[in-house]
Amino acid sequence: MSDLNDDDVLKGIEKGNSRIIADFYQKNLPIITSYIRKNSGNETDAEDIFHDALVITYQKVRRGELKLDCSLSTYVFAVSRNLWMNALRKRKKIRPQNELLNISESTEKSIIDTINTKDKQLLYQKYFRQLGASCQQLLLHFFNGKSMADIANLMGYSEGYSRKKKFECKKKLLQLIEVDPMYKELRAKDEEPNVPLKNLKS
Amino acid sequence: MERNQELFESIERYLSHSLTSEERKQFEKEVDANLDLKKELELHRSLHIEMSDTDSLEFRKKLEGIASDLRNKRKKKTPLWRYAAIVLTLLGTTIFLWLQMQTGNVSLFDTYYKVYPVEDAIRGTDQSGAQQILKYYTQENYEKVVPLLTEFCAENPENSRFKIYLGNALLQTGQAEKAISTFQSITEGSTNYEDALWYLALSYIKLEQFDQAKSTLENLVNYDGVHKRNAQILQNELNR
Repeated sequence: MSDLNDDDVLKGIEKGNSRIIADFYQKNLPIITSYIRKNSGNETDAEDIFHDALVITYQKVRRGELKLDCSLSTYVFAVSRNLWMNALRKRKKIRPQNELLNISESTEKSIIDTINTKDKQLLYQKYFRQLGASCQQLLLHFFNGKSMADIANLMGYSEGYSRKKKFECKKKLLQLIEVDPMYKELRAKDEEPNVPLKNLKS
Repeated sequence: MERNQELFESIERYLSHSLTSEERKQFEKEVDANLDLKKELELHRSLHIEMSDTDSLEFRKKLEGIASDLRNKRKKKTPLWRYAAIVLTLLGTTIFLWLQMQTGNVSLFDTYYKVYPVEDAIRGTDQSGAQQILKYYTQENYEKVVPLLTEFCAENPENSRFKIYLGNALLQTGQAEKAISTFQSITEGSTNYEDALWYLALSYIKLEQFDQAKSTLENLVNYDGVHKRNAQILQNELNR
């Protein structure tokens, strides 16, 4: 699989081809790990950041928004680096030195803009993945817009139990999110100025 | 504010526009009068918006599976002598298959077919049924795994990966026609669509339905993915 070019890899990522993704993953994780370890992080930080960067890349590819003017590896590295700079800023640690990358100013700006809009989603997804397997499956159906009757059928539960379980899973997810300091920071940002109800209405 | 099922369901009905006009007005009145409720509504709304991208969640799950596989591989680093043994076995098998091909004793199916490997582990205690299935499958206990996989796929029709396992188990137990139906049920857009096409083509070859095999291989070449090269080679073999 080593002879795949960036277009092949992007196609593989878009289609969720496990073998292509695994190949790209194995080649690029060590580069991100090395960078993060040099800049106050550890292997777990590197894996989390790399996953976030790949999710962002996947979303951009799927929406046809990814226009590469550098290699895919460089792009994913640049996204990871910016995510890590944000994380360090939030942990009140020193910003890492900017490594020179063969990447245009407009791509760098687009990466920063994308990351700024993804803060909440990445945070919610992080805690969603900490829920038990059945909670994740049930909530996936729920957020996917399936009716409770369909969810009950898919999960093999009664409808009443599905409702109760959905409540418990969602409550647990909200509790996990709320204790993260980053959530408090994002919320504070949202509350300035105070959001009027008309903006909250569906 | 105490969180309870009733509160969550009211908020969800509000967000999904399922309240009657009267209920809606009443709910908005309550929100205006209660800052905690307003914050709760805001949080749910944000959660629903951000989590509606369930494809990203599935993608993240895949990444975690890859990460877990890598960690396991690192733990079980293969000693050098085992690599040598694997190389010798592969070399022996290749020479054997080549000799068999020369004498016409091995079909195209046997030459190209390789059982679909188990991709990643199923985590969590609630998935013990799936774990048991994967255990039988990796132990090549296909007779036992076919009914379990059939049941699992009927209950989880969106799980294309397990359908691939079922199709393979059916092929291994001489049920190529059922395998064809299973692979055909994996639709375009599904994660395992390309694998399904590959095994569908092989299933047709197994049943000597060569026209259907050629047409499936053509689809696979046009798909332009990871099986393209093998599909082209197999097409050439069929056209000889």
